[in-house]
Amino acid sequence: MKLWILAFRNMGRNLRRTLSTAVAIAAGFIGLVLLSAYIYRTKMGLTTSTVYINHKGHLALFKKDGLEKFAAKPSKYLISREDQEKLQVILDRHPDEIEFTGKYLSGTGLISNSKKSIPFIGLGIEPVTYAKIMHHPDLMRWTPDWIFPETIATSNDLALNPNLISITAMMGELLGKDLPFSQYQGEQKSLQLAAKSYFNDLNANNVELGLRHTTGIALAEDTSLIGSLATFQDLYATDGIQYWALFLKPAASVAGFRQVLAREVKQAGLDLDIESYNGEIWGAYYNGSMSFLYVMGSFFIFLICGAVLLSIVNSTTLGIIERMKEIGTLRAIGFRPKHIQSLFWRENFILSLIAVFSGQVISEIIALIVNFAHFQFEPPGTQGKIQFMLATNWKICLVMALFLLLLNVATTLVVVKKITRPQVIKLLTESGA
Amino acid sequence: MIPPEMAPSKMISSDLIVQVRDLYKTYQLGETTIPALRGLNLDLQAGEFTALIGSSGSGKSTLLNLIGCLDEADQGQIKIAGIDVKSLNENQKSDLRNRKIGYIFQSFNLVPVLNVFENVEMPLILREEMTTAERKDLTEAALKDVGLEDFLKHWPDKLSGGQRQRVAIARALVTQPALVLADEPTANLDSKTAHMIIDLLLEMNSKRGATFLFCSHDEKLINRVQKILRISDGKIDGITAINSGGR
Repeated sequence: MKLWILAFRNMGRNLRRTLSTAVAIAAGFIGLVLLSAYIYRTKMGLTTSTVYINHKGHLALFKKDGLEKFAAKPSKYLISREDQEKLQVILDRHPDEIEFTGKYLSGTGLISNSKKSIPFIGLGIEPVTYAKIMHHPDLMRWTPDWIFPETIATSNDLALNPNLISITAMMGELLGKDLPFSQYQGEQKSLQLAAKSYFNDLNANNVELGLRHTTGIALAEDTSLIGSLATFQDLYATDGIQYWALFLKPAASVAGFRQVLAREVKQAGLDLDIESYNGEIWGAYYNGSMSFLYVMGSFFIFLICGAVLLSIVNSTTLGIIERMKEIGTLRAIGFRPKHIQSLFWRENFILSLIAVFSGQVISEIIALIVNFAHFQFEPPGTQGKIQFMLATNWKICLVMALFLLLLNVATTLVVVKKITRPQVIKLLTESGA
Repeated sequence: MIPPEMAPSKMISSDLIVQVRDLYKTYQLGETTIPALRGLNLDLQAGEFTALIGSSGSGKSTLLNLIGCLDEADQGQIKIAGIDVKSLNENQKSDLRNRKIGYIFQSFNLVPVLNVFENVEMPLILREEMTTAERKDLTEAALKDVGLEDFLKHWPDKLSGGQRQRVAIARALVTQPALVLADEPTANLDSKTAHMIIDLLLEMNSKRGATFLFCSHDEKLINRVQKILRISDGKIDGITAINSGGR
């Protein structure tokens, strides 16, 4: 306790230097918190967009090799009705992990307004799942720019009318349909889907325009179409599905549950692959974007920590040089080298703690101001502008604070150990600064 | 773990507290080697009040620093209370300084961010076996002995030179050491204050029974010791015993 008191009082000996070191640590911590807040917000936005808006689920079950080969030979890689029934039994065992599930079927074809036809890449979805996704709280929290109020308001319509389809504003423009799509009535909202069935017959369906969505991804925006699973199964003449997406509860571990599920699927004799939303192929956009952000983030963390570390080294070295004689006196009255080291690490620990706490408060204020200001920007590859948001996360902040504190303590110990190594008499006779 | 031989000292008047044999110490100044001690021998009995005198550069401070385990000899043996300091590692030397030796510096060397009580208590906080109450009692007793019992909460920069040296003396004595070393303890004090400090050192020697060894040029101090060791060219070249010690 006495060493803590001494350490605390020592901080006041050269207030200007103590303050400048604290500012350097606090600035570094603010940098780390804001950087992590941006990365965390992007991660959550991308996760929500990938899992819900792009209907990939946290986990998705495909026929073996189906993820890569379904587009080339869909009939071979469909999950049959029989397999779906077996899978349903397995999924029913996990109400604690699974929030809800959705069966999907994707395919390509042409969409026509009787005058003009354009290609589409469509996704058939169960209407109940569609409604659950559109009302999911994560969408409003993390991707409010990519979910329109009208999409939420009309999301139950698919269940009432399975013939409805959802298209993007860009596809609407190509088809000569302006927003809002709800303005079209009767024949005006009638559209046709034409495609080659999985058994090589030409097939067509009458559908109705009524819903709007966005993928959030620029490249997919002019071809994306969403309809009911029944519409797509009818169009492609199958009762199978391409994949079964699982939307997990927040507390569930995606990787952990994937392992459990893989084991049970294998035990049931089902030949299925399980893909996760952050996988290299299934979650390519998420995976690529986050990998880039992590590399960029690591580079900045390295720079920030380097600056903080140099500041600590500088401040501690000056502090030791100024107090050589005092250190010598303490050694002369019986302090061991480790006691001197512990005195200095305590000083820097207290200083870092104050700086980190102040940095956290300032970071929260900056994040509040930035979020309140509603800055808009368009990240590369995304569709339309989104709000620049900073989302601090207490767990990440705590980890970074501990990391910074440990880094400071370790740096201090190295510096003190090196400088206080000489004989006691040399410390006592040093003139200091 | 504290070795039993480092337990708080119990003075036996006939004990040898310091034994120095064939001590050599040289300093390197650039390319020049300066011999400070050249085969010095010395014995100090428990309770002695001894002055070390000699011209500047004769090796007084070097000897004091070596006996105080603040520096390392090139050659030779030093035993403090029977313990050969050469056999000790850095931590054991720290413990020996803490438990057996008190050091009084010329310029007091008080810690400016600690008050009088805390400065004196400092050596005791290293004693894990000691309770807070025991530390408090010993500290207050030491401060009472030097007449500063009313200055416990005062900061060093608010004290006079004489008061600061009293604090330093109390700090040196609070651990009840077997040996007290003092390097020019009155050099930074005016004549009147120096006289009071000399009285105090003598009183502490008498009351606490610790062995005092100090180097000084102060005639007033030298005239009141029991024994004078004259050091010249790195060796003891004269011992003068004064029975009454001026007390």
